[in-house]
Amino acid sequence: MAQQLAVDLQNVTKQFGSVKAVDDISLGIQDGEFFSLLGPSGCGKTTTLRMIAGFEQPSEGEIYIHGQPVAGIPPYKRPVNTVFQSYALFPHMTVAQNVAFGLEMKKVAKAEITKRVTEALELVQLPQMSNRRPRQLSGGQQQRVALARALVNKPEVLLLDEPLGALDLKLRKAMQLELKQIQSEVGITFIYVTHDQEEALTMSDRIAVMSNGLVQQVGAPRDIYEHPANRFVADFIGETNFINGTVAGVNGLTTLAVGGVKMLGTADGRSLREGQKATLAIRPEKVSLAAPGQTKTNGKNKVTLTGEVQEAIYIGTDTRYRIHLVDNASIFVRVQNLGARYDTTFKVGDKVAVQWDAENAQILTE
Amino acid sequence: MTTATVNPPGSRPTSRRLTRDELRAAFNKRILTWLSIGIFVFLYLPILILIIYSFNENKIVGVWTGFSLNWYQELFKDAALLNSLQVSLWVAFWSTILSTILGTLAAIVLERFRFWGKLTYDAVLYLPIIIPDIVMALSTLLFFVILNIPLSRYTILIAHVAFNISFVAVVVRARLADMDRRLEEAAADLGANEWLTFRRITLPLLTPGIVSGALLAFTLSLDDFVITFFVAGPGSTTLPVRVYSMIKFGVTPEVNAVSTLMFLGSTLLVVISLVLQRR
Repeated sequence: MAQQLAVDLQNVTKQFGSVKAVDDISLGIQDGEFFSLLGPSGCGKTTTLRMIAGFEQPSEGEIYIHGQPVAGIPPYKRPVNTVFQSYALFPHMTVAQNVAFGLEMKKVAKAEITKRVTEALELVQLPQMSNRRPRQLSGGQQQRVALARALVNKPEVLLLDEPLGALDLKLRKAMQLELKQIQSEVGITFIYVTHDQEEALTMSDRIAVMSNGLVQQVGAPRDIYEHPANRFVADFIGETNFINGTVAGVNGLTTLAVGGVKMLGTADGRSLREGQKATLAIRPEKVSLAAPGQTKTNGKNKVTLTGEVQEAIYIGTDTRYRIHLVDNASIFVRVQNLGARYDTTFKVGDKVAVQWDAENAQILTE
Repeated sequence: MTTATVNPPGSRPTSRRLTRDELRAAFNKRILTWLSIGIFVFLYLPILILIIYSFNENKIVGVWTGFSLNWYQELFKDAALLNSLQVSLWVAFWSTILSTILGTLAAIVLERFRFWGKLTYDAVLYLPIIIPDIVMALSTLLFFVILNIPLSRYTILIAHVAFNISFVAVVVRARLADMDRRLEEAAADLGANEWLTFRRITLPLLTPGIVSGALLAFTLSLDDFVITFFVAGPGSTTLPVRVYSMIKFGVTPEVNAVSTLMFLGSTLLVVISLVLQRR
């Protein structure tokens, strides 16, 4: 038998009245994995997490934790712990009492509790705060206490519900790296709910992108970014240009006809037929610009088009151009500002050669 | 009319008239100040006079002849009065205990559970707060008469528990509504079953609300006159009812003295209750 999954969701549906918050999803989360559920608010990611924690019961389907079906098992008997978005620290207890709570419930011996609480607070770098009350701590410190309170129980799976949502940007970035480091240190499976795509890309081993209660795509950060399965994923993760057209050839690479211009892209194994409406998706940083006639290579899989600069905005590291290609199709292009002078850049009204590698352009349906 | 202005050195002289709006604002401010002073005088002057005359040496109210603690000494020799104080405290104590337990349970049920008829139960629970005392009194009395229950301190107790539950439930429920549900979920997540979650998390966080509700119940029970007057049996008079019957024989400084003590006691309890609610 293959390695047992830490968490296995099989055809799980959750219905609230007439609304399907989670619609027939199946996910297998590996042992020791940092797995993110990513999607906009209301996509069902938090409901999914709450079903694993036991706060909600699935309307249909089955959830297994290390092979054990958990239907009907209350939260306090499940081998998982949660870090809540609002931290949910007990205000009437000290930091140490908060962290000790789970162990006390399990009737762990007093000396053992003291030892493990100290270890947990050291792990989150708060050993000197044990006698403070939660409200005497900053947001970032409260977040660490919440993490310690969950980790001290050595759960089989740790569930994190947007734990960094309330922190400011700088602290959030630092905590992202720290969380990832803690996870590899303790080796516990993390299931991480977030709406922040950058956060998910930074920390996760694998990501499940969700919308409207459905899983849109599951994959490693690189897969999701480079090979989005559909328009929603391409749009939600990072910035993408979409160009609508008609499929004009499916020989190896896919050709899309857009207002008389032919553009090449890859269908990534999706079956398309000629004459079908489709969308070409290309990231702004995957497109290069050159003066007309000065394109570097004219490789077989290079797409070369002519366009006109409509907008050029200097944004420090990059310059962001809007290039008009054909009627109803203009794209954004990011060009890194490598030169020392401004005169290497293009101006509004310039004619430019626009190039991209066909492998980087996804032809998507719907 | 010009207003004289003193200008700091170096600044431009800015002698000017007050605008109409400024005049109106100043006038309004003055009116409001005097109005509020007037209201407080109207509310508290009688109580102040009552307290002052409790220290009057003379038996005739309104004729001040000198300071004396005599009437307070008299109080503690008045067996009937002391008996009614004892009944009052007994009723207040037990009605507080019972109504605090029942009111807290009602608050938890209403705030945390969904069941058939909840809305009706909710409305009915709060009714004693808005029903006129006299209606409560009369209906409670009729209830005892119909069931052929002899009036005693126990009937007073039952009546007090009946209206106190509502007040305790309101106070505790407000506290419960403010409480973050995630705290209880977090406790469950950390391995605490329903009972442990209640005992270790919900109850400690509710305590200020419960104590404040209990103090309110105690005060209301001590102060109640109308309902008690109707359901009190022979020999089971409470302090307010006793004071009322004393007045029938004329207002003596002894009545002033007992009223002063009741006023101080109730004020203290209400202040404690408010402080606890703030926490």
